[in-house]
Formats: sequence, structure tokens, C-alpha cells
Amino acid sequence: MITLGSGDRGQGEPVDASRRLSRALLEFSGGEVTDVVELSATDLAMHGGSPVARRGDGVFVVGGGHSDALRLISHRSSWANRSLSEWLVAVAPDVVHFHDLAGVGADLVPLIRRAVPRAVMVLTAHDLLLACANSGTLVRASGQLCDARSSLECADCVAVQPVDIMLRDDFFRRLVGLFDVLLAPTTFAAERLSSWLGGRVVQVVRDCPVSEPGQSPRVIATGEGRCRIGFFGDLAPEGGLHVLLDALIELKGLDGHPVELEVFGSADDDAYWEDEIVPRFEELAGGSIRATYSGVFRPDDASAVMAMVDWVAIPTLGWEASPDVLMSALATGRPSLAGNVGGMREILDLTGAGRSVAVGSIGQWMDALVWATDPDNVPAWDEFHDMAVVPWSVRDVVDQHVTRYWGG
Amino acid sequence: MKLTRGSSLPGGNRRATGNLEYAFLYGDVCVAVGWSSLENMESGTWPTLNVYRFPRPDANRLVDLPEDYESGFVALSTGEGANTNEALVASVRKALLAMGVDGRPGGLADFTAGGDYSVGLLAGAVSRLPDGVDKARFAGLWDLLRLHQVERGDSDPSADSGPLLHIDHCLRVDASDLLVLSGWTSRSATIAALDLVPGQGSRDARLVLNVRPDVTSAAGPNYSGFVATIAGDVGVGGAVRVRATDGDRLTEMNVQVSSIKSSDPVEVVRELFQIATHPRDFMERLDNGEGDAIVELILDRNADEGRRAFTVQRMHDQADIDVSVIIPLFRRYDLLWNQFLAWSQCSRPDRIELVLVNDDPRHDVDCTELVDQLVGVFGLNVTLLANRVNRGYAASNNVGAKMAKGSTLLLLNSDAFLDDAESVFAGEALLAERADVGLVGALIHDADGLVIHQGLACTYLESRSSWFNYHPAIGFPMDPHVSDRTTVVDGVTGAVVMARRREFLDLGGFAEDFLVGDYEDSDLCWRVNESGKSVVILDALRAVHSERTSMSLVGGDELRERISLFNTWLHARRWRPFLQARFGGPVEVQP
Repeated sequence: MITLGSGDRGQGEPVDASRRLSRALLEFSGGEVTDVVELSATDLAMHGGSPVARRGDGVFVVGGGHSDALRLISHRSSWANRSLSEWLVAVAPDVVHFHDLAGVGADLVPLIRRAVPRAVMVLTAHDLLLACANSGTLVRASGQLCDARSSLECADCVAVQPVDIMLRDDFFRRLVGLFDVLLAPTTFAAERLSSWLGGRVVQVVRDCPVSEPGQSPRVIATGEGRCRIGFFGDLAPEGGLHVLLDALIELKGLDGHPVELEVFGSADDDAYWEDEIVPRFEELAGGSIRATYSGVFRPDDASAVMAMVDWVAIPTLGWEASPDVLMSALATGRPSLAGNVGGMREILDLTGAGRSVAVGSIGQWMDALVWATDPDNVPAWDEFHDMAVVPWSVRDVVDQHVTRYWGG
Repeated sequence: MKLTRGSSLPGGNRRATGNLEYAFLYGDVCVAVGWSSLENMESGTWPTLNVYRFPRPDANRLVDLPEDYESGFVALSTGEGANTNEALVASVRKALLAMGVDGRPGGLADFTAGGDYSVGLLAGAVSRLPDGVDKARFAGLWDLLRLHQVERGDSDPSADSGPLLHIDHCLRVDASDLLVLSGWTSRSATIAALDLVPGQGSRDARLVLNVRPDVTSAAGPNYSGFVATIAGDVGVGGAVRVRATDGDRLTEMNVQVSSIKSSDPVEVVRELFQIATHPRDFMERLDNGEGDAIVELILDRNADEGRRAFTVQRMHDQADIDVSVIIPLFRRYDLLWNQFLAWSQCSRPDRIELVLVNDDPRHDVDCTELVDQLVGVFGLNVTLLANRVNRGYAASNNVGAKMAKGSTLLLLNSDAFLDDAESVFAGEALLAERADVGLVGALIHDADGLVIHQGLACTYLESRSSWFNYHPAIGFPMDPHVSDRTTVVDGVTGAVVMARRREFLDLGGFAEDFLVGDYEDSDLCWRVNESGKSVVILDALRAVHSERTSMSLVGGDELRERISLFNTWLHARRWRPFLQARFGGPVEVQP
């Protein structure tokens, strides 16, 4: 089996999901899956004719980057593609499971289809990149959640010509036709993708959960509230951290009970960081209602870092087709405060391990923070905490995948 | 408004500052309107200067000058000593900068192409000066311009009694021996050209009067714009003497000829069609010789055949090809990703041949490399042709058809994609079973499921004096139920159309004298009709199409509209009785 994630640095939800699933399949499939070749992409220049290279962690990489950003076509030369075809024939996979197209390049799909035509090809849509030109967020440039779409609206949203949206849609719809099985980790993502594909079946198979045991609650003093809130994720506009900070700033003016927000994640968007986040942090420095930036953390440390907080706040302004922070919170045993749409709402409804907040609403985030940190509501937190477990096991996920691999 | 450049001039405390508000070329006169803090307007490198100064209280307040300081200017600079308009513009710009006047980015150049309406622009420029400016002082400007015309020494001594004459463009199409003049003069004047080569004599021009509101406004109702065409080798020496005769009065002037050296019809029309003309008058222009000249250039361009015309790479050795899909390419090669992906999903790709015809030799390497990459990924049967010159959509299909291996052709725009590649076999079967059918067209829709095409018809547009193709039911929701129904129609678009290869070639393929790609499809349909066969839409043959993706790469909206007008002109000239009978036409009225 070949499984494809993406990204040179091995980060991001599709890569993590791909890696967890690969290991779980080898461990729990009962011999149904005996060999897994993990494939990713590198932005580093490779020899023009070399099909693959291998990283220290055993992951094979192909040349990445996009020569055609509209369709996510790679830079690979025709010579490299021919060598890659031969390599694929030699590997002779029974199953090829894509978790992402960006990076490895969408042209890899027809290449594999042709090189190993009998292999079952599976795609898990961890996001809606195929259906939405705005990075798969289904959020318009105006910030509005996108419910319906036309080529004109999409073109306006991402500032391209309508013809390019048409070409993009046409290409990806046909590309999906090359897969035998389509999967999505949430019902929300499955339904949206299915709708975009004119009703084609997209099956819900959940992502492999982190297999670490849940962490014990943070010890608090008598009379103290569950006042430590954590934000985990990239500091980017769509993450909605500025909304959460605005809610805290408003609360600071009201002088209520203490709220501590700890922010973890990388701040790669300089403009957002400088213009939107730093000034808000400055307003929230010190005092009983405060926010602190704690930097980035290693993926392997996610559970330990999350254990330091009481609540995981997910103020994202999008739908979260695959709510990985929420899933990590469940795996860690932490309740969440999360948006009331898309994959977040779905998982909260499924587990009951947290409270929904209207997306982008500063007022609702104020209410949620006041309620969550109120010392009188510690018993409610205890109930949420009891429900904060991933409702499916690694073995369940492996079984479901194996069934789809062999049963279609 | 950016007001200062911050530079100081030696010998004075006053900062050099100012602004250029309007500027344009009027023949070889440059007119600049603005204000400057400097008194000396003759500094710098004005070639020859006439300046009107006047107070600009609005500007004076901005830079703390006395209220009545004459900072405003209207300056006329002539091109003496400057061989080209570009040189004149450059020298004027330099002079303005020396005066501390900021040339707005593009401000000067913006108007250089607007010579047609320069009289109106001057009037507009003056009228747009702010309140408080004594506009009566500019009443003499028009006289100044006329005076300049006389001062150039081009006019005959009797010019005072002759009609006013101005030439905006004097273009010579070298490859066609055609001189095209545009300008304005008396509505009742005739135009003739006298070659400056001794003994040539005069040649009368074919004239079309052209609506010019700016001329009417400036010179009165007896004056009009014109476009004159003169065939022959006149103007070869680089200049002609133009004569306007109105009754027994005449005016003459020497005019420099701009030669259009290129024989590429697209490049030629790019120059010729910059002469602004009302669409109705445009048809008459084409009748006066420009149309035939363009047709001749197109046919000359496409005259080469075989290896002198194009190269061929047969990238497959498949013998049993049933359908050849001919796809002309012009620049947007990325569309091939969609095409290859679509055709790779056909159940019998071995029966299909993609005949790709690159019609842009400038990007031959890019095209070849991409096709190589695509063949490596998808492995389809590909024949790649590369035209040695840009031959247009019709000729590209024709060479593709000649080199195709399939007995059935699908002519396909590069930006049109079959909903289901399998449907090509339904079209093939229809042509095999129905000898009465000559062409099979597609139901074409846009990305959102609205009909773009389910047949083609013509309509006569009075405002354009010609018949235009249109697509009935465009914009209607498409019936989602696919059937094998066929519908007989007048015509179909050439964007997606199937034909028997032998018949297509026997009919002569697409007519190649249409420019870029337009109207050759209806022309083919009318010929198929004349041959006694019908043209049908096959409901099962469906495609999504973004119209004119490649056409939009040819030039701006104005040029494309004029190319379209040229094609309607040619189409109407060829099919007038047929179009009149089938679609109706103009009611003959004698004014």
C-alpha cells in the first residue's frame, strides 16, 4: 500500500492522519496490510530524472511545488514522471491512499492510475480544497461562511477570472473520477463533497485518533474556576484568535472572575501577527483577565501541552471539515469551546464534550468564557471532562479502512 | 494629487513645483494643461513653444503663491526637430519635469493615442479648469491650433479659402499597397493623394464619412471625420501630399506616412483598426478596400502547405483510430490538463487520437514540453502539429483534419470539454448511421449549467449594418436529462462539432479568410446545407465551454469587436442572399 500525505516538514492534519493510519494499519489490521510505503513531497530540488528520495524517517518523497497552481500540478519533468511510473510498477501497490493532493501534485493521480491500474485508489478529503478555491475553507473573502457557490461568486472571492474557476472545478471533478473510494473524516465534509460532486457517494470514515491515554484534570484550588483556556493552531486570520482576544478585552472592562488564555501556535502571517494580534496581547498583558503567547509546540507534545489548560477554545471562522484540534482535545481529555458549524458542531454533538459558540460572535464568546470560567460551573466542566473521549478506537478506524480498501 | 517634487532650482528661492493635468497629441502638436510655480516656461527642452499663462488661484493657495500669480498654463509644443510623436512626448515630458511639473504616471502618454478626438479633448480640458479661471482667454486656442497648421508650411497659399483639413492617421499597408488616411474636413470635400514622387499625379480616395462629435463641436456641422483609402503604391516614399477639394476650393498638406511593415493580418488590423469608426461606418470602410486587403493578407499568410506550413510529431503508433479530436491551441496550454484528463476517462482511449495544433509559434517550446509531460502522465494517442506562423482557428482545424487518422472528426476548442468523453462515440455512431446528417453539434453549457449553445442562427443588427450569429436559448437552464435525441438546426458553433473527415476536407474545411476565429463555423454550416445535408444537435453530446478564452488573448475589447465586425462583413458579403432569405435583413430605404 502507498499512502500519501504532503508537506516537506511533515506537519498538517493530512500528514498526521496519514502517518497515524499507516502505523495503525500495520499494527492492527491483522495481516490485511503488510507493507506501507509512505510518500510525501519535498520543495528541495531533486535530480531531474530521480523519481523519489527517502527521508531519515523512512518516508519517500517526490519533487513538490506547483507549476500550475490552479490545478495543483507538480513541477516534475516528463522524465521524472516516467521514472516514477517505473518505480510505482516495481512497488506494485494493491491500494493507494491519498490524504492530500497539494505538494505531491494532482498529476500524480492519473500517473498512478495508469502505472498501476489494478490498485484500489482511495482519497480522504481532510479539507474541501477540491471544491473551494479559497484554500478549501468554504469561507468567502469577506469572512462570510459560504453555503452556496457559482463560478462568478468563486471568481470574485479569490480574485480570478470565472473561466479559471470553471477550469479548476472541471479538472478536480474529473480527477476525483479516478478514485475508486472517496472518504471524509466528518459527515459535514462528506456531504459537502458529495454535493459538489453531484451526489457521488463519499463515505464517512473517521481519522485515526491519537492513541495516548487522556490526561488528568489540572488541579485547582477550592473556589477557583476552570479559568485556563488554551488556543492551539496557526495564528492566521481564519483561526479567529482576534475574535477570542476581543471577547477577553471586553471582559476585562467588566472586571469579572479570572480568565487566562494561553496561545500556542506558529505566527507565520506577519501582517496578522503585527496588526491584529500584538496590539490585543498588549491590552491583555497582566491582570486577572489576561492572554499569553506561549509559542509553538512539537506535534508529539500536543497532549502534554493541552493538559496544561482546562478548556480548548476553537474560535475558527471556518467550518473545520476535519476538526483536528477538537479531536486532540478529546484525546487529551479536555472539553472544548468551539464554533457551532461544520465539523466542530458535528463532533461536539456526537460527544457532548463541550459547548458551541456562534462563529465570529464576540458577544457569544464573552458569554461562553464567563460561563466556562465561573467557579460555580466547575461541576459542569467535570461532566464535560467525563465525555471528552474519542468515541471510536484506532482498531475501529483500521477495520473501516480495510473494509473500504478491499470492499470498495 | 501629488504636488511637489521637492527639488530646488538654482538662482531662486521659489520651489519648482506644479502639476500636469491634461496632455495630448494633436497631430505633431503636443498640448499640455496644468500649472507651475515657475515663471519661465521656456526652460528645458520644449521643441517650440506657445504658452498661455493665466492665474490659478486654486493652485496658488496650495503652494502659498500670490492669488493672482499666473501659475496656470496651456502650452502647445510643435514637433519640429522631433521625428516622431514619441520623441515629442519624451521632450515635452522632460521639459515639464524641468519646470517642476509632475507628469502624472501615464498622464501624457494616455492621450497620445487619442488623436482622433484631440479637438474635443482640448475643449474638455479647458472646460474642466477650475472656477475662477478666466476661460474666455482660451477662445484663441482653437485659432492657435489652426494657425499652427498653416505655419507648418504645408498648406497651399490658397489654403485660407480652402476647407479646413486635418489628418490624424496616415497608414500604409505595405503588403497590400493600401494607404488609409483618417482625419476631418468639410463634409462635402473629396480627398485625393498626390505622391511626392514627381510625375505620379493624383489619386482619388474612396471616402467614408465618420461620425466625429468633437469635430462637429469644434468646427461646426459642415465638418466631419473621414476615413479615406487609396490603393496603389502611393506613399511609398514616406510622405504624401493630401488634397481636400470642396467645390472650387482646395487645401493641401504634406503628411508623413506611417508604414505598416508586417504582413501578419492580425498585426495589420491592430494598426488599421485603431482608427475609431462608428460600427455602421466601419462596414463601409471595409467595402472601400480595407476588407479585401485583409482577406488577401490572411490567404497569403496561409498559402504555404505541407512542411513549409507546419511540423508534425506523431506521438503514437495506433493504427485503428476511429475519432480524431482536433484541438487548436493558442497560448493557454494549461487547458490541456483538463483535456487530457477528460479523454483519459474515455472507455476506449485507444480509439481516440488527439490532434493538437499549436497556432502560436512563439511558444512552440513551451507547448512541446507540456505535451511531452502530458503524454507521460496520461499516455493518450497524440499527434502534435506546430504551425510555423499563426494561421488562425480555421486553418489550424484544416491542417489538423488533413493529418488526422480517424475517419470521424471532433473539432474542439481547447477551452471546451465534453461532459462525458464517451459521448464522442454517440456522435460517431450518428454520423455512421445517418447519411443525411452532415454536421453534429453539441449542447454546450457554462459552469453553472446554463445553456450557451444548442444551435446557431443569425440576426440582422441595424446598428451594425450586418448579420450577427447568435445562440438561441442562451442562458436557459439546461435539461439535466441526457438523451440520444437529435434536433435539426440552422447551424452549430465550431467550438464542438463532429463531421466525417472525408466530407469535411471535400467541402474545403473551414474557410480560412475569417480573422482569428469567428464565423467560419456558420459559413461551413451553410455550405453543408447547400450540399443537401442537415446540421443537427445531438443531445447526448454535451460540453462545458468558456467562450473566447483564447480570443481574449488577441487584444482589447475594441480590437476584438472590430475583428468581429470584419468577420461579419466577410460573412455577409459571401452569404447575403442566403442570410436575407433565411433570417431576414435590412429594409431598403433610399434617403
